[in-house]
Amino acid sequence: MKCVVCGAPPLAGALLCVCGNPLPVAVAGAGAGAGAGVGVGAGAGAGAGAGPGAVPIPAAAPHLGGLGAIGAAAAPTGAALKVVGASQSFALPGDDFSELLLGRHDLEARPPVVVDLDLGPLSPRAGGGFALSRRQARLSRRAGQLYLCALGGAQTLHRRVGAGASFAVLPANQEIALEPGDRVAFGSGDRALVLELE
Amino acid sequence: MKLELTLSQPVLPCAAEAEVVFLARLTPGVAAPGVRPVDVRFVLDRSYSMGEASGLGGLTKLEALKQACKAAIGQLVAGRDRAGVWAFAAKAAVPLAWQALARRADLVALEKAIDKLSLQGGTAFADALGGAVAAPRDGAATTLVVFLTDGVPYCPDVDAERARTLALAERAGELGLTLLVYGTGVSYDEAFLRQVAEHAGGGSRFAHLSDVSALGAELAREIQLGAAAQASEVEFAVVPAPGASLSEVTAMLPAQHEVVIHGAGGAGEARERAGVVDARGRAYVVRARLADASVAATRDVARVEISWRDAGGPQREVREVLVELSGDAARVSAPDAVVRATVLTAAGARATMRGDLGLARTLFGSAGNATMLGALATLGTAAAGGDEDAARSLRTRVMAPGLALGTAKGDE
Repeated sequence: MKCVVCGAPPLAGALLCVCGNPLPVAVAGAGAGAGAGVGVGAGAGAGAGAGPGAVPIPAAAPHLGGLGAIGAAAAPTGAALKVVGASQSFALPGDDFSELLLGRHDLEARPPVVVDLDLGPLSPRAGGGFALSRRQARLSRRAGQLYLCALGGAQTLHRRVGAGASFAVLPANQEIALEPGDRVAFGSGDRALVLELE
Repeated sequence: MKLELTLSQPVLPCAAEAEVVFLARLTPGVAAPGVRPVDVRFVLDRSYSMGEASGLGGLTKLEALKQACKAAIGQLVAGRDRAGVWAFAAKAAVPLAWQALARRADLVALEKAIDKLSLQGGTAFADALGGAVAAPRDGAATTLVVFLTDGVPYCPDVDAERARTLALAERAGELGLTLLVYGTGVSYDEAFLRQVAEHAGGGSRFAHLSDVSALGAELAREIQLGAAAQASEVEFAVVPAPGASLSEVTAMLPAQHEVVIHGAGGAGEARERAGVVDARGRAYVVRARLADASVAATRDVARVEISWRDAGGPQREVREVLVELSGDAARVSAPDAVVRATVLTAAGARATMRGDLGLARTLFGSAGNATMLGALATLGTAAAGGDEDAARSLRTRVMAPGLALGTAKGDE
């Protein structure tokens, strides 16, 4: 998966881009083939080698990881989430990924909450609190298709491209497929944070 | 001692060139606590600036230092441990010659020697450090050289003083001593003190103390861990296989530092004297480049060597790191979450040291490292506002990742 900040293609196996930013984690192929016999094996020496041990692979890919700071430049290819009414845009990885958590960091929570895409700085406060939940929604991409799943808390709304002006409230924990031009709103009224899939 | 190796991706896609990332952890076995002698050599600044307020409780820095040392002495055991005190201002003095703490009265004498430290002019620490490094060494002991200053050399030949200090630090590393370097206040040369710790290598490290009083608990913990350490004379090495080259070897525990890769042209190997390894163990992040990785095959990446001495005598273990290159995308493994978090945390620390706090935030965020994000939010904000003490505290914090090698994302 290309770097979401500079767009450079990564070296196979690399975790960091040459620009210094973290590379997104692709889910494609994860979980298949545990690399039996490959990994770290006992070698010569007087010590008690533990024998060959294939390194276990997580059953599912770990979370995608942060996409960079607010206002990070969009990658030259692939989809992006654009903040409606603002200039910010967040590039999405072009390859499949298992989870991209949208919400806001809360470092004072116990345990602290860290999300992949921190929308907190963009989220208008409602009545002294945030209009946006810490864990607002989850994005994923499978077989090239983007999916959104509301996670509860502040409401998540969706408007299908070409389907008029009305947003529909998304029930929590139910996925919907997202298409380019679709809009997603977090919160409601004039405090809503609206994103459009480009 | 146990060596654990975790590859980020045991199966990589075939490509013209690939990067193999793995984590090497040295973990001690179960130790009988408090069996190893501990040798503590205090090298303490008593220049006039140590008479300034420490910022807490109305104590001067020297008074707070005395209290902290006494707290540490409370962890020493008569009949088991050794200690000595070297003090410096313009000249070095030896308030208590290095000695075995045979009886309870020796511990009392140690406390009194530190209590009697008085302020003097000038700052020249090489003679005092030299005395501490030159004291006899018992290979069976955990030897800690506690070096604290709040200033820069103030003496006739500053360059020579610095050069000699670095040479002494290197000598300390060769002898297997652990150099614990502390700076307090904002007048000392942070880069130089970091260099001193780096020259000693292994488990030696630098830390900024915003509050000298905090040193007491820290030293007490070091003494406890040192007494329970199982292995000494630990050496760690990574040797790349033909067709592979090392691009990074970073030690993560007990503090982050780069391990020098010796040799050029892709054949360079990384070696480090890790000294005494206590319950915290050691951890290294290794990034290696694999050339001509386009053919599906199992490839040798590197050899990891570890040697140490324990109750059973000299020990050695060698492990090979292999990776599978596959043309089948479905077999390619996802990055190991812990390895990824550790690599990103290490990179976040480096970004913080460069002052690139935006990138550091991104890296710590992607690593799910809320602790470091919290440090950036508090200390980083204060540092951006011109608080130099906070800036130094932040750099110390990020370079001491502790036992949590990258934390999993917490659930709400």
